[in-house]
Amino acid sequence: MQVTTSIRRKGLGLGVAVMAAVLGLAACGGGGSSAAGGKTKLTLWVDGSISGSPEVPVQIKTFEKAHPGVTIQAVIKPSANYFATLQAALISGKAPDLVSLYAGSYLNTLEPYLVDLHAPGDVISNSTLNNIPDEAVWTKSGKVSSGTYAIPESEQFYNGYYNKALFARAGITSLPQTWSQLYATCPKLKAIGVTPIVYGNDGNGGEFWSLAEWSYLLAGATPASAWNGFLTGKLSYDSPAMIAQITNWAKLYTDGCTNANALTDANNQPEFEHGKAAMIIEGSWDTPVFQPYLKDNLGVFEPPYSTSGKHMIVELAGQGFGVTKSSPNKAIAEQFLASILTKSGQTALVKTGQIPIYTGYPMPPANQQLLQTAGGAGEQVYPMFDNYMQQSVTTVALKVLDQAFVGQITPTAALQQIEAALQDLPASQKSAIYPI
Amino acid sequence: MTQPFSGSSGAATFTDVAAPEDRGPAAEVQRVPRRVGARSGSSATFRRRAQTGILFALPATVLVAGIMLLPLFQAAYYSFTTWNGLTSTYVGFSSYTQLFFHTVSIGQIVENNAWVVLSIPVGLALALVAAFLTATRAVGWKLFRKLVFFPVALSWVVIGIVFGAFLAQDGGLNAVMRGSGLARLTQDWLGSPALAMPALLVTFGWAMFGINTIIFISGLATIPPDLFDAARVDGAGTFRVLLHVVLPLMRRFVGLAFVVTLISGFTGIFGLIYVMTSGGPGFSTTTLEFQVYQEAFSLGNFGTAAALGMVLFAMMVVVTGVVGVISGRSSSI
Amino acid sequence: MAVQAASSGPPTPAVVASRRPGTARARLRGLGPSVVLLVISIVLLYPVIDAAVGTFLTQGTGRPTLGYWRQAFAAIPVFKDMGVSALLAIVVVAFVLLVATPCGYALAKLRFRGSGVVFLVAVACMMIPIESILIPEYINFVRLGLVGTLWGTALVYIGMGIPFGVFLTTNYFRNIPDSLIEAALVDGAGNVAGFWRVMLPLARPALAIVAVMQFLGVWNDLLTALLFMPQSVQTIGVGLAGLPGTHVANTNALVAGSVLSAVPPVLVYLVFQRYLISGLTLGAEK
Repeated sequence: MQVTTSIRRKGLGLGVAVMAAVLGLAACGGGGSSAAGGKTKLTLWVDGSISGSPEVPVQIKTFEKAHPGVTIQAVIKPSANYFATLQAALISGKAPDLVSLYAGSYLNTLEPYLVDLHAPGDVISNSTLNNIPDEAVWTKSGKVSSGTYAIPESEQFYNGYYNKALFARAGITSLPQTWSQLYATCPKLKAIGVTPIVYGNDGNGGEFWSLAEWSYLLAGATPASAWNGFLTGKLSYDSPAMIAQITNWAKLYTDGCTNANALTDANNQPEFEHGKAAMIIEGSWDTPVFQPYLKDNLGVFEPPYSTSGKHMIVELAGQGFGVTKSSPNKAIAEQFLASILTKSGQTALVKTGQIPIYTGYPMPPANQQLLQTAGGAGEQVYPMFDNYMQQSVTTVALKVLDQAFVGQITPTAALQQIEAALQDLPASQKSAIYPI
Repeated sequence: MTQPFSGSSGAATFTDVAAPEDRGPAAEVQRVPRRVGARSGSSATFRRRAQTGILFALPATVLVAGIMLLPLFQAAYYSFTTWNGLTSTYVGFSSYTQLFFHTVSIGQIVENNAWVVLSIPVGLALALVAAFLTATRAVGWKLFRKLVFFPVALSWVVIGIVFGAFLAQDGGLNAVMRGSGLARLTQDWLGSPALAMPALLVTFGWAMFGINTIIFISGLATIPPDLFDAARVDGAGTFRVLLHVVLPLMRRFVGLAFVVTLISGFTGIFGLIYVMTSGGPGFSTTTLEFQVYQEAFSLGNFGTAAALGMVLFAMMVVVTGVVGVISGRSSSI
Repeated sequence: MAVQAASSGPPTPAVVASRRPGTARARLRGLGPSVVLLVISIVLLYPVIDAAVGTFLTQGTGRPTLGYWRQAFAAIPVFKDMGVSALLAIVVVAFVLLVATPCGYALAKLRFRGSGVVFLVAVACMMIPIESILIPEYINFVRLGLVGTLWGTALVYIGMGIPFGVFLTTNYFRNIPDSLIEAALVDGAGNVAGFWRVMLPLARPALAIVAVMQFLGVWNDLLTALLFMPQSVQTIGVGLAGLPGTHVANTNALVAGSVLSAVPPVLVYLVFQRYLISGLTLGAEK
């Protein structure tokens, strides 16, 4: 009957679809085990996307040319779950040979899986390692000799950017060095119709990321030599000095120095790029992002978060690479790492607008200015503190600092929560590992 | 996000046997099957039925046991250790006590989960109304039934992006408000600790609306329309028909839709939070599931994450049990 | 307002009833209901259409552009990834239906010891948060050599989808009167093939819902695909997640890709949606 035939036809159609799918799976599936005769194949995991690390394919190609018989396959892993995917792979022994890493205390959990590049018999010479600026290398306890687990390809700073043309138009002739000088720039910039400092989440969802400024806020309250106290609990986050700092910081918002939707503005970067805002505080990885828009008008400044006009700049490691212990090709992998530090490797990096490890390369003026500032007399260079903070404290800080900034909670309340998170930790997690 | 949403069964509630013409495919008479003696209920038949039953249920049971239960027990084991993926140390219940007594704002987190649960009936009520209107075959009902699924087809991440932009200070919602003279009410919805969670819940309700409506459409189709007519003849208005006739018959489907939405509220809403608010401002939109993610994948702390996962699981089972009792079906959830 | 028992004779769902002259008119109590449906439709579609249209407009200036779409297609092989997802989804749906339907029937109609427990376990499994079991699952699968294979990934999805399939089909079969099933079985289902021929049409709404939801679940998934798929191929979910999304401009590319990616599940739904109200009366559709 009609019904039966139509069911039969549908059943047949469905059956064909399923068969095709099953055959399709069998055909495409079954992954690529590399062991082709003669050639060595390495895999390199890249965090995020190639467009975020355009120097990597260039460095790979250079290396492959110099080492015929070796191929490196760069595999992109989405940023969102990079750490999870990496950890799963490491646990199961299916990890790649090389992994890209970004600085952060989460790396401490990866330490058991990574090769110590400082160990004797290692391909990368210790003298090479010693020549890398301290802040840039990822080490077990701040010293290369204690164990080096990743080498960086670039250096970064946390810094502010400003629009030189807008500053000139507003009649601001020198960079602000103290809180009060910073407040003073606001009415001038508002008078020419731009947002003085723009805050936002860079289109990432959630709230703005306050850790770029955190180290500067700490530095304005106490010198970096004392910061280990923040790790061990000897120094309190909710001290009067710190409360004063956060209060001054929140004053930027109440004074109208920032946009009203500072917490969640997804367009903060475009607003700066298109000249609607005069200042933005993030990090040197933004130079290649902003340069095409502002060109010669792109200036850099250190957040002047102190009353005394201290000169301080916060430095951190850029993207780094490590070799996994499970790799069957450790020696070659390490040779690749070494090649990143050579002239060709660093040149490839410089071309993308990042700051190289070593000096002597031509750079965009903004980056040059950063290095000049860092090398200036009376200047103090601090490693980023959030790299050393305990993870659970960092999580709380990320949540409450934003709220304090826009006045949803008081500075005292915010700092008390951070302090509580620190106090809650067991003693084993309160070590003085900050290298200054 | 691989768990499919539960749906209804479009079963009928017939009180009599369907006429022969309405049975399945053509009744081609084949060789007399062995089961012809089924109605007699001999013990041999029961045994054979039981054997067939076990056979039918075996593949499913084996697969679920291996792919769902086994890792669950493994995760339960790890919840009593600190496990970073490489080494584990037995720590007893300390992950759980740490969770309940030491996690910052655990009260707020649990409260957020409670709000999710409380918001579900509102969404269900709206879906029921929509399904009922569809069932009345109002003009455009077929088109509506086709359109209602579209939000469901989007992934949580995309919904998060779309609504994140829609709820921004310069987004669509504020634009609509300004256009309709409500400019005073415009604000940064996701940046306000008081409004972010409601905004999130509205987004969640929007996303789940289609599924619930489909469930109810299926369910309503099983109600003989004679009931509608009979009620009308009695002089009842539409609303009372809905309340006193339809709702009791739909109890099972309401329960089903509740469970479906509940599971998504505990597992799928993560994608929304991740994209829209990252749990903030502060902890105002952090749910237990989001906290699990942060503990496990941000901190590498699988022991605590496993413990949180167990708590999440237990909460869902408890709430589902309560719903099951309320909707009056003791033999099935 | 007494609830009267259904009249004797074949049941007539609303679908059939609307064909009766006069009833349709009576049901059109003004266009009130239609207006409500229209309003709901607008609320459902407006944010999505707004975002979709936005993918054709340049950020900031609002000028029309195909740039974001080009970005999306340049960054990932959109159609290839969708093909991979479709392959995976079809296989998973087929196996889930194949395994869960007989199980649902068994739990509903064939009494055997432990059937109640099996059902409760299935329901409970629907509530397991995936993140909690994914890492142990991954380790197990690594030991079995199934990680990095399409079949391994499919297996994980199948395992995760069966509880829901069992839950739904069991409930569904429970509602079908025993007598109906007996009659159908007598007529021609003495063996496995016969069982399917009989059960399939009876269970269509349940199977339709499971098929649509399971397809969607696989299609939109990220985490499982990320962990279990081989390096050489990726699903559209993974592909879209890999689109650079740190800058607002690139979010548009992501939205563009995601809107396109939503089309196949919608198509699947459109194919199956009329089965939602089918049931024991066949052919009396629309």
